[in-house]
Amino acid sequence: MDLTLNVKNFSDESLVQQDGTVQKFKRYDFYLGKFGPFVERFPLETWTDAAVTVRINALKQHLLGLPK
Amino acid sequence: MLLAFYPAVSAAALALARSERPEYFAGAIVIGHSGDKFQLPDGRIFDVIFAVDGPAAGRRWQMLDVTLGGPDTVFPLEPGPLEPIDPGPELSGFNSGTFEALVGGELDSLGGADGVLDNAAQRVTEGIEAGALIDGASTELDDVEQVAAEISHARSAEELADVIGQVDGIGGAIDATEADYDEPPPQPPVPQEPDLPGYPGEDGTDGEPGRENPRHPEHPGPTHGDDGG
Repeated sequence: MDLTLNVKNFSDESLVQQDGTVQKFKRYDFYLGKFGPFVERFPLETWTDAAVTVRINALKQHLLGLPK
Repeated sequence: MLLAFYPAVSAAALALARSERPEYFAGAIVIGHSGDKFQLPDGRIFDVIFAVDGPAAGRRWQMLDVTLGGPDTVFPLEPGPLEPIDPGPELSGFNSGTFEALVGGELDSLGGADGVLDNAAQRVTEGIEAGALIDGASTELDDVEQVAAEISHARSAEELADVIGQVDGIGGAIDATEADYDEPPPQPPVPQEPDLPGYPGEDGTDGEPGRENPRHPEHPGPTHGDDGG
């Protein structure tokens, strides 16, 4: 199963939370092989390579667990 | 996505996923009294939580289309005791046609009703003319028109001049009555004032000599010369 990461869009995003505050995010639009598109946001305060890797790997594990 | 990032199955987790990752829901909104379903913009409804009302350990993520009560192949409904009513033949039973034809046909079925009604009306009229109406006191009602004519004839017989002549005498009596009221109203009787002690009375007697009664100055008291002193 081909799960190659293919990032289509990487952007900055600001969203208004329910408490009225504005939180900044890093947004990834990507494909994993033929699966997708996936959209993942990372708060600017916790945006690290490790956090991005953890999420992508979780998606890959989920896709690998799907029935063939 | 739900299996990957929300292992704890619950309606709260579904709502959290909807808020954090709306792109995965394709515009769907969470519905249901338990919050375990979501509805797509095209109207399709999916049940995504199995046993949402049960214990947490028994809940599972699922994707079950329940738009029309679910697919019949999974849990088909058993036939109930009621069956659709067969419309069958028309229930009216009336002859088809225009309304006028229907009404005309019904009138023809009466047959001779006009003659019966006319005969009844004539009999009622004859009874009235013959004086058949008698009140409870066994007195005969006079013809209203005749009575009204007699009253108007009696009134027209009285000339207007005779009426005015009767009124002339009344005016004199009224004037006489008005003259009595020209007199001034009678004065109420005024009580006589008592004589003051030591003062001569009204006739000049009594009292101290030489002392004038202030109430009756025209009657001065007796002088010293009168008593010879």
